[in-house]
Amino acid sequence: MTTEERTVAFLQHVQGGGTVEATDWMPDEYRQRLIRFIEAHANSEIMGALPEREWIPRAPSLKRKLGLTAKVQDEVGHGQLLYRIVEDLGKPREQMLEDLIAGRTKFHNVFHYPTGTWADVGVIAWLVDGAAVISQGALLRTSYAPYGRIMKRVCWEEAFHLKHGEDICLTLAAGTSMQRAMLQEALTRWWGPIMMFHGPPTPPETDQDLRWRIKPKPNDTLRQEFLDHYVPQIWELGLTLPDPQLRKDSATGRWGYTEPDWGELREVIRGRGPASQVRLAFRRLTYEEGAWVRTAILGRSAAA
Amino acid sequence: MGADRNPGPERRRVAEAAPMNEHALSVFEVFRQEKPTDAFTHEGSVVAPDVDLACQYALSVFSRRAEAYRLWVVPRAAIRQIDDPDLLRPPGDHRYRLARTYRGTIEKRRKLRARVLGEAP
Repeated sequence: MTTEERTVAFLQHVQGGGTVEATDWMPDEYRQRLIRFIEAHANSEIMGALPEREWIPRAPSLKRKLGLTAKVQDEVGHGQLLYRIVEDLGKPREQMLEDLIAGRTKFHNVFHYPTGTWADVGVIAWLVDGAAVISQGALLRTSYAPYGRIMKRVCWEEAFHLKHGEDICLTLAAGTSMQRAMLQEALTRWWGPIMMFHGPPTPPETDQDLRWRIKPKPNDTLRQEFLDHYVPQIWELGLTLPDPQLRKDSATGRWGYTEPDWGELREVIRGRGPASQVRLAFRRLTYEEGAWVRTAILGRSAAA
Repeated sequence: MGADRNPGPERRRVAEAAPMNEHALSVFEVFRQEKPTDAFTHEGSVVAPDVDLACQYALSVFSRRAEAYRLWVVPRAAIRQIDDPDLLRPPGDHRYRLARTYRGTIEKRRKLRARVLGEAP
């Protein structure tokens, strides 16, 4: 078989629901797309730990501090699992960490924004993680089996993040008028970035990650699932969302909304978001401060 | 996957999947047993310079919620994979090895019971 014939057979296999293992032959384009997709996911896990980490010392109670610490640990753990998958595809971890701090690779738009109040912590854990679980739940059926298997653990742990975040939001919603206002203010600020979370409504026929079934569902389908699940829950609390066009069409079952500013999304993920450079600087600092640990570990392995 | 398979994969070591060209780190596969009566299930992997550190990583990545009764940490290089369909699913009908093939016993028993009852004095 020629490479082209192999590639056609491979594409039919993945499009027909077949899965791929690290040891299987795969077209180079598929491998490169997997690396880019999963590496960005891994970057998002460890960059996503940073905005929440800022609130561990300021958590309002010991219980919240424990919950938040556990969540931050989970996110870093997910980063570990995902970087491992990419290492098996051929990209060394050191290279990934260096590409991230040099701004050569991307992480999710929502982690480029500042976390101004404790209510942000609740909104992130409930709704940003909520949006993430919609994507990650779909990824259980990715064509790349090692990625799908890891998603089982990730989704299981994320279930706690959502409930922990919802609990923070419900407590604030039932609190003083100041707490309620703080929650509303955080929700209003986060709604724009959350609506961009699943990406622009790329036509499925031109979305290459969809073609190789690296991701099983189109961006806009994920956003519709998110809105369907969370908007009624938000409105039920008497909170408002800053989009006058947001409503469900009872005939089609689809949510209408004001088109997000996709130009802002492109700028933000290129490292020009309000907190992009601060976060990357912190990641760089941590990487440099941890250099002695890596040296010690490698010294140990050289001696072994 | 079935679309394509390299020749002679049954003798290929799983280690070949990972070009661990970086320094002297190696991959360790982690298996988790949830309850003493459960079988171990593959959970994922960690990278470490030796098995002691691999065990530390396995603990912190795969058992933060007391979800493991035991963990097995195995050098990937020690795992031999068999994935040749000619060996795993050889041609031929193997249904005679399965209990459900012998469901006819219900009907046979019914007939036999009627006959024994009919012969009774």
